Amino acid sequence: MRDLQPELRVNYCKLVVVTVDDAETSRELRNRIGAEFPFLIDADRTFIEALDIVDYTDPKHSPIPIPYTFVLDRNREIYRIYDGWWFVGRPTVEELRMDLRAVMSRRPDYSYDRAWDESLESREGAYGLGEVLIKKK
Amino acid sequence: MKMREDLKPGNKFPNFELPDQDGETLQLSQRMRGWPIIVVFYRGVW
Repeated sequence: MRDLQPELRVNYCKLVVVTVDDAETSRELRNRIGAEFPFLIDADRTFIEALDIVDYTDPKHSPIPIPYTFVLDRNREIYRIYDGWWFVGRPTVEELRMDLRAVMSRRPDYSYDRAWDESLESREGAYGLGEVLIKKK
Repeated sequence: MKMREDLKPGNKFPNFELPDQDGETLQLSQRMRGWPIIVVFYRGVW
């Protein structure tokens, strides 16, 4: 996931990790791998139990989350779900990139519009992209 | 065990709220700020 960070940054896309580790362990891991994204602490398993994504098969560490990955669009609509109980079910960076491309392409401003060159008002009206374009100037 | 039935493509993901690694409470929609997001469930450090 760390390898995806530069692309997430320039595309304004976000990533969060939900973990059952405590805050200190998560801070250490986050620092060690150089992650910019937050680790959200579900140490008491309340959230993963509410979602029914709990794995009880490991005698030492259970309950632990089934390592699902969800890709959501800007409205929190689920676009893709990866069931990572088997390692091969976990997404690659390229798969996530393709998912984000698909989700981003739903935006009406995904393709360049020449009208944006012509007036500030049209840029500002372009689904919020105006703000981004103006900031870049 | 099966995942909660409403967690499927096309449906909304819960707008959950959890503390981050520094103790700051973070709500999913606040983190998104109108942009797509990837939510990864991590099994923890073993």
